Amino acid sequence: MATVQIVDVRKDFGSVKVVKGIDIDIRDGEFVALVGPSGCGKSTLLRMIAGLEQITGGEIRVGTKVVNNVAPKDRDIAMVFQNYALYPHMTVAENMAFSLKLKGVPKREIEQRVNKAADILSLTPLLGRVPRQLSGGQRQRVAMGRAIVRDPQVFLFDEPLSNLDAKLRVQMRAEIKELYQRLKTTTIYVTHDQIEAMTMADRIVVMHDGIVEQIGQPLEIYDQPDNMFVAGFIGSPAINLYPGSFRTEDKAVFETDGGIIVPLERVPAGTPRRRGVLGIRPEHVAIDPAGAISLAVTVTEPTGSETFILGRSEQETMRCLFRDRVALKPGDRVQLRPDPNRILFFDEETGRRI
Amino acid sequence: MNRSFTYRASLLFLAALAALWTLFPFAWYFLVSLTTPGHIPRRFSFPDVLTLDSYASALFGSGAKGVSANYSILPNIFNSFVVAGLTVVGCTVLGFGAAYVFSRGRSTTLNVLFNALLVIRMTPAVSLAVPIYLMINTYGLADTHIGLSLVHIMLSLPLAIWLLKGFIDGIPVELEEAALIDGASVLQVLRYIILPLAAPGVAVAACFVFLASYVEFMFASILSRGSSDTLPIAIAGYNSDHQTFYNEMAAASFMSMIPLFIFFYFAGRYMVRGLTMGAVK
Ligand SMILES: Nc1ncnc2c1ncn2[C@@H]1O[C@H](COP(=O)(O)OP(=O)(O)OP(=O)(O)O)[C@@H](O)[C@H]1O
Ligand SMILES: [Mg+2]
Repeated sequence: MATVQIVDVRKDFGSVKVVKGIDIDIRDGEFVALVGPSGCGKSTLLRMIAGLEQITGGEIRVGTKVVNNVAPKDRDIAMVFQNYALYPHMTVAENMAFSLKLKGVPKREIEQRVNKAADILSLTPLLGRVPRQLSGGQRQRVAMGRAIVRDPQVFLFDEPLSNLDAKLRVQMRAEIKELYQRLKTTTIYVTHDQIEAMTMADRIVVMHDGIVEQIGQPLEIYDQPDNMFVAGFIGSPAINLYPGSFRTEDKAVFETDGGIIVPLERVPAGTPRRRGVLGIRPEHVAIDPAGAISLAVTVTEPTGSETFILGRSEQETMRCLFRDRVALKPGDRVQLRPDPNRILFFDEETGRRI
Repeated sequence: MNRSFTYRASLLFLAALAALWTLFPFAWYFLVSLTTPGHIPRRFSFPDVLTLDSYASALFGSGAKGVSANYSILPNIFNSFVVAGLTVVGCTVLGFGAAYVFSRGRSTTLNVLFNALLVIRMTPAVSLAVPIYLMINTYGLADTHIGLSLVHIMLSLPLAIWLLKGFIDGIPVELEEAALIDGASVLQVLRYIILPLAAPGVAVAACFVFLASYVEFMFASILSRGSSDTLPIAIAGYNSDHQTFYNEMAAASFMSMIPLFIFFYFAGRYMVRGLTMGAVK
C-alpha cells in the first residue's frame, strides 16, 4: 500500500497536448475514481502511473519514490485492463501465477497465493481452463485475480466493467467493492459510468479535456459542483441549466432567458453581474400547487421505482425525476416548486459556481 | 447448399483437370524412376520393365559402372539438411526479432526499411550471383555449409520477417503491457508472451524457409565444389557431359521429397496445435 502523488503531470503526443497539468494527491488505501468524457485523458493518466506511457512533464510519486523513470515492472503496481488482456496461452492458474513466477517466488508459495486469490474470487473450479473457455464475467475475475495475487502497492483499473452486460456489471461492481474493503489497497479506477464512480469511490476526480475540474467526495461533487461542467457531467438524468438574469425590483427572482421565473430567498452573494446560469437537478423539484413553475408534460417514463418527466415551461424544456408514482400523462399541466436550498447558480462566463 | 448435380459435376471435373495438369509430369516422371534406361516411355504409357534398381543405385551408388552415375545421394541429403537447418535457425531467430520490431515500432524509417526488404526480394536472384560468389569466396566460405546457408538466410529472411510480422501484428499490445506490469522485462515478454503466441507463425515461416533452402539450385551450384553439395546439385549431376541418367535422376528426385513430407507433417501438426491454442481474444 502506498500514497500516489501526481504533481503537475503533463502528456503530449507530438504536438497534441492530451494531459495538461494534473495534480492529484491520493492517500494510502484510498479508492479514487477518475471520470470524464471520452478522450479527456483518463487512460493516458492511468498508463503514465503504470509506466506504460512516458511522462512529458511533472512528477508521479508512489510512496515516497518518484517513479517517472522507473520501468513498469519495478513500480509494484497492478493493472486491470478494459479487455482483460489475459494471456490466452496460459491457464487461469498460470495467468495468476505469472507475475510471481517472474519474481522467483517459490513454487509452493505461488500455489498457496494463487489458491487463496482463486478462493476469494470463486475461481477455484476454473483454475485449469484457458481464457477462451471463460465467460466475460469470469475473465474479468481472472484479471482481478492476476492483480491481487501480487499484493501490489497500487491497483489500477481502466474501465474494467464496460465490456459486461448491465446485470453482471452491477454484480462485479459489488465484488470489486467488497474486494477493496478486504484488501484496502490504494486503488485508482477509471470509468465513465458515474454510478460506478459514485458508489465505489472515496473520492472522485472529474477530468475534462486534460485537466481536473474537481476532486471531492461523491456527494460533495454532486451537491456542490465547482462549475457547470461538473454539474452537467455528474448526475443522471442531467441537471437542468438555464441562462438568465437576476431581478431584484420588488422581490428577488431569477428569470431565465426562456421565461421561467424562479423566486429566490436572496440573490447569491458575490454575484458580479446580473447575468447567471441557474442549475436545477431533476430530482430537486416538488409538485406543489403553489409552485412558481408551470410545466406542460410532454414525456413520462415510469420505471417503477421512480418517474421521469420531460416537459416544457415557457420556452424552456425541463427534466424532472420523482421518487414516487405520479399520475401524469403527456398533455397534463402541473405546478412545480424547485427546492430553494438546492438550486445552484453559475457564472455565465467562467462557469464557476456562485 | 443445394446445388444441382451438373453444377457439382462440372466443379469436380474442373478440379480433376487442374489436378491432372499439375500431376501429369510427376506421374510420367515417377514411371521413369521405376524403369531402366532402355524402357523409358516416350509417350505416357506403362514401361515394359518395372524395377526399383534406380532407387538402390541413387541411394547406395551401386549401379554398374558406365550404366549408372555410380554415386550415392546420402551425403547430399545430409548436406541439404544441414544447410536448410542452419537456414531455418538463422531465419527464424533473426526474423522473429526483426518482425517484432517492425510490428511494434512506429517510425517512418522502419516502414521504409520494411518495404525495402520486400522490394529487394523482387530483384532477380541471378543479379546477385556474381557479388555473392565474390563475397563468399573472399571469406573462404565457398563449399561450406555455413557459406551456403548464409546466402539462403539472406534470400529467405524477408519472407520470414513478413510472415512473422503478420502473426505478431495479431497479438494485442495489451498482452505485452500486462506482462510488463506483471514484472516482465522486454526479453521475458518475447519469451513468455510473443513467442508462444506467434509459434504457429514460426512454424509456417520455418516450413517455407526450409523448403526454399532445400530446393534452391542456383547459389548452391555456384558455390559448390563437391564436398557440401546439396540434393539439387546431386540430382543435376546425373546429367553429365557424356550421358544423362534419367532413371537415377527421377529416383533421386522422388526420394528427395520424402524428408519434406515428414518435415511438413510434423510442422503442420504443430501449426494446428498452435492455432487452436492461440486464439488471441
Ligand atoms: N498513442 C497516442 N498517440 C496520439 N494520441 C493519443 C494516443 N493515445 C491517446 N491519444 C489521444 O489522447 C486523448 C486522450 O486519450 P485517452 O485514451 O486517455 O482518453 P480516455 O479519457 O481514456 O477516453 P475513453 O473514455 O474513451 O477511454 C485522445 O484524444 C486520444 O486520441
Ligand atoms: Mg480510456
